[in-house]
Amino acid sequence: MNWALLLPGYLVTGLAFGAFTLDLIVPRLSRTVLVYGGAAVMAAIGVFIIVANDGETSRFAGGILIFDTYSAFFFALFVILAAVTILGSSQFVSSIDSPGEFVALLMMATVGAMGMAAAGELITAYISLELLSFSLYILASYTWKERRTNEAGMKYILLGAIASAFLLLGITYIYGLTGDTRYDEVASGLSTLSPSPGLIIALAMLTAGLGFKVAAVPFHMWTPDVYEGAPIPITAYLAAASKAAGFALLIRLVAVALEPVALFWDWVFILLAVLSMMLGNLVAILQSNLKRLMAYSSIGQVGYLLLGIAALGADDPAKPAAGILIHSVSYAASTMVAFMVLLAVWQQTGKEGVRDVAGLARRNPFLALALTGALFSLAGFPFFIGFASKFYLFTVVATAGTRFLVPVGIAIFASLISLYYYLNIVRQMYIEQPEEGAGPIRVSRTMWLLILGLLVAIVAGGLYVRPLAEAAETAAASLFGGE
Amino acid sequence: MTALLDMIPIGAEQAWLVAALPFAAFVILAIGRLQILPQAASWVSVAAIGIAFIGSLGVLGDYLANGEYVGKIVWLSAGGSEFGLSYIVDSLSVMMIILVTSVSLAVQVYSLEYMKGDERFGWYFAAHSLFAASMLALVLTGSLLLLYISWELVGLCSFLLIGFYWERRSAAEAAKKAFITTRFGDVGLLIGIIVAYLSTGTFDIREVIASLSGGEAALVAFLLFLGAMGKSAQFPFHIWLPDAMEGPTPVSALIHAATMVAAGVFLVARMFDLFVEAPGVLWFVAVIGLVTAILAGLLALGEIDFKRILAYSTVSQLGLMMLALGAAGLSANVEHRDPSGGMFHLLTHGYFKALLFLTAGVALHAIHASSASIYQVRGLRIGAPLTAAALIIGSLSLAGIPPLSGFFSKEGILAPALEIETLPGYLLFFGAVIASFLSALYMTRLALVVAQGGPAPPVESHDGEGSHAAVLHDAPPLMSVPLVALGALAIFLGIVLAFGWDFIEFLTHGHREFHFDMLLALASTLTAVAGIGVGLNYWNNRERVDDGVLEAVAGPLKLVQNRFYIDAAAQWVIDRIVLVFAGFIREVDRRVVNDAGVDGPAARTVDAGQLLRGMQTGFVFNYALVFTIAAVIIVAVAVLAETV
Amino acid sequence: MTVLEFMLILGAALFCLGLYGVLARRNAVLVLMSVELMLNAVNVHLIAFARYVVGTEAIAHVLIIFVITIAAAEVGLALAIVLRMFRNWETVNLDRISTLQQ
Repeated sequence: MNWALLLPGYLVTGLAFGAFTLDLIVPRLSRTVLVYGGAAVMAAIGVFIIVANDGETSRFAGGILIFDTYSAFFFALFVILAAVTILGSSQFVSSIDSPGEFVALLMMATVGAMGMAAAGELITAYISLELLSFSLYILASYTWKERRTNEAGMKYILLGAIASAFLLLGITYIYGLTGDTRYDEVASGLSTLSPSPGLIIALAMLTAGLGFKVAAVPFHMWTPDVYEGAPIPITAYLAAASKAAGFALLIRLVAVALEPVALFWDWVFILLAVLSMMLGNLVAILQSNLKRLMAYSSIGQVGYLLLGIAALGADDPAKPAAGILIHSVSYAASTMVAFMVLLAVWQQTGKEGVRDVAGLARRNPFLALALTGALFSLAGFPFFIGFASKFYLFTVVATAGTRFLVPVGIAIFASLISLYYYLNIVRQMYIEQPEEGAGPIRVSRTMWLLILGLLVAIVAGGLYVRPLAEAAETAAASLFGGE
Repeated sequence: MTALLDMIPIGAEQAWLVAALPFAAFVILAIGRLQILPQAASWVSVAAIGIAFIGSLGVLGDYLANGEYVGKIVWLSAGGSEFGLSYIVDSLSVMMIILVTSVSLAVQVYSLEYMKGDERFGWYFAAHSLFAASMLALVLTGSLLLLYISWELVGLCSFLLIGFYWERRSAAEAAKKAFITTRFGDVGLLIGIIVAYLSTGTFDIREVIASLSGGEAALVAFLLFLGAMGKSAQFPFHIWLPDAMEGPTPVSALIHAATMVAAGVFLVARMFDLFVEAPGVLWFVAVIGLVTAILAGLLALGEIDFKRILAYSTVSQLGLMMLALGAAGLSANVEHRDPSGGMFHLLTHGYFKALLFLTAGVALHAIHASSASIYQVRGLRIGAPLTAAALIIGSLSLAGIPPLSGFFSKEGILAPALEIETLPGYLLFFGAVIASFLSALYMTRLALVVAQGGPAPPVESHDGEGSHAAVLHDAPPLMSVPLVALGALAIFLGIVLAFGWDFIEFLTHGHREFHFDMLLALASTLTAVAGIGVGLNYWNNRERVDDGVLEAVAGPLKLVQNRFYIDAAAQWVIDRIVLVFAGFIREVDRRVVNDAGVDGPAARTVDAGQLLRGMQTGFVFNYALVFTIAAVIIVAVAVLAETV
Repeated sequence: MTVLEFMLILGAALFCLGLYGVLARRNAVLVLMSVELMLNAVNVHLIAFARYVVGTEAIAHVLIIFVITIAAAEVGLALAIVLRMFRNWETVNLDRISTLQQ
């Protein structure tokens, strides 16, 4: 039995309330305690999850939450991403009024993300998703005195509300059609149904609602604006964790609950995937703001991951599921490095344009090197984790069926397009001259260590991806009750 | 001895460690370069290569006990197929890893002293480690893909090391030249690998060899040989090697003995069974080898720069190895179609050429110059007897005087041509004899002038510190140890491997044994003695006799001095075509792609990205509309698809 | 027309009404009210399904309670952000606010 995995959720919730309370009692809470303590405890919980997972599948309260290796995989990912974000905000939190609240909200978001991964039932999934979203609505507009941030928060919450209405309608229809909201019951209900308009509405609404969460084209419109407007640590969390949480929910939902109709519905995911990777990578070329550029680049990455979702309807769904897991981790790690470098540059210069990193190699060689590594990894250069994960994902999708060959071809083509703007940034950093009077950029020791650690991870993962691949394969297999 | 080797904990299964260790050293040095003291950095590098050397001996022990081993580190398994690094432990790779690690070790120990005080001391060792690591990966790998990657890495490292003193224009130029020249050949290699993959569906070297035949085999072999020609400096790609002398002298020793140039010969040997399928290509290999050997021999006679003479001698010896490989594949005796002759010479040549370069290094180190004519370092015997002895041993070995190691391997060079047993085969043989004669001649000139000679004239120092009298002296102990070790190998290796422990048997898996042909040995010795005799007679106790030679054979030698205009032609190609083309591409990128696509507001209309970007109006209700329409379209299309 | 059909049509009409409001209104507060309408349409659907299609009414009731709660929280949060918007721009008109675009 795997009840130990119940603990991390309670622990993180408790931590969040602790931070809320501390913020009330001690108005000027020591940054050291909050940031280093919070990050350390989160990281410890991450280690605990990895150690405590015994590979069994446990169903909590009749299956509304399922604790298996798949859940553990995402729990660990979310908790570690939260720790990284908290650590990365060490300087940011001292510029805001209530740092405790900021950290607490990040932890609440993490609880929501964990719920999305473990949910075995639609209501639980929905509530977890809202818990994540609500925390992020607040965080995305945290520096509300700034117009840009305020606008980002407004757009995020309005569009998010609409998307959640669509999602709820879809859940309602699924409930109406099958009489239950538990994934396995939904699956057995759906297997007796033939495609009907009601079912199509249900599936389309679910796709729209979740497509919004993971920022799939054409439900992506909020992404660039919110990424650009939100504070950088939150943009990083949005890009890495929130997106992964969306996929955590989507994989279990499609692979378990919608399994009987997955084949019937896979063209929609293929369509969204192709649109996402083309639009994301094409529009990214034209961006001059780095956060916005990363937003479009992340839309492109979502396209690759959606291909994996589409392939879940194939004979052996564990393989594409593993592919998505690996690429989620790889994407999250690489994108974190990129955002942490942007954060470091922004904290000193207050600038975040593509032109503002010109000559970064001279202003701070380490940051330039780290950003180069992150971008190479995102572009899928060999010997970075991005290459291994993309390669894995594309291979499993391409072997899932002949109808995936053309989409995978498009994905490879889209990756080549993405090289253009990634290399453009690298060129800015190494070849272009820095602005007049631009001095060296200093990095705090915390930030330096954090970026170095992540960089080592993406390089080590690229050199030897097997441990990650095996973990992902075990996790994916546990979804289907195997091994 | 085998028992001793078995005690080493690295066996065939861990052979990849041999390449991984120097690579790890490189990573440590490259990342921690600024943090680690240079002295500590160098020791990390030396320790890594030292352990790798011991490890390669362990691999040898395991190989002798258990035979061949093909290992694979699975890097990624996706969708049922596995991808990984496969490595082959067979006689060829075992021989190569021992050669590479031992020469690298000797050179690195030597460099500890030679490079002392250099401002980029740490970087030097980092690049050195990467160089060794990529060469080791190249010889161990079982996959053409990884072979190509390490091949390019080797090229990159040579670029870095040849251009080590990049402030000096000539060094930067030489590095560029080496890089671009070998790149011409690499294009052939890459196409060859792609063709092999397309026709067999695999990158696995053994499977490729086994499944290719006929025209395809000939095409692939030819394309691969183009790559080998570039790397091994075969005519007409030989031009980069002499210029590569711009790097620090120990680097030259490494490039010439173990890494870089050996790669081409190794590639032909590794793919030998594929070449055997294509006699036409084998003839091409042999003839190119012969032309290179004779040409480079002549060029060496026309050169007065110490290191450049050695460089040309390398080119000519590589030509002889290619000749031997090509001829061996054509042998009338099917049993004798194996690369053992050429590889034996590669091994012995590796050690005595490293020795020669290191002696050159001692001389140059003593006069604080990075290059010098042989007349500037005359009289080595007086000031530096040990170095002079090493130089003479190396020269005699290269000339092929018994019982030095070069003598035994030279036989393996000459014999295959005879075994073709046709008239063109005999012509090849005579060509090889002429080349050997030339080798003996230029080495005599070199050794005579440098070792004997009168006291050297004042030296015009290259670093512009004015002229000062050169004081030639022997090297400090740290530099002498490698000299002595390599000298011992140059003397004894041949005889040990011929009679003590049969190297040919080892290389051919017991198909053949070392065969000592009295007649051939006599012919080879006579050629060497003749060369030395002529040389002694001509150059003994003369001052700057080259002028006399120039007058005597003015026409041909002028050609020689211009290095057959090939150099100028290649320079022209590089300057006028490659670089102009590169500049053109850069301009296109700058003006068209960047300005129009990214910066130029004027040309913002046709871009697909632009159109899509226009959708992003910034108004939240527009976003909601897109969202809704998308959902509706999905429903509509799905319903339509269901009902139709 | 059975009661079920009537309820579903009512739910769909409410949903579309809400959607229309979201798309057509420029006032942020009115957009929020329209979203409320969409969520209530979902509740109507839920009641209809629970009563007339499937026997597991408890699930629907639980979901409805959550929907109401979450809708309330959402509006509270959104209004706070809209209030900030008013302070920053002195308008709640959505077509005045598009600094982030393209």
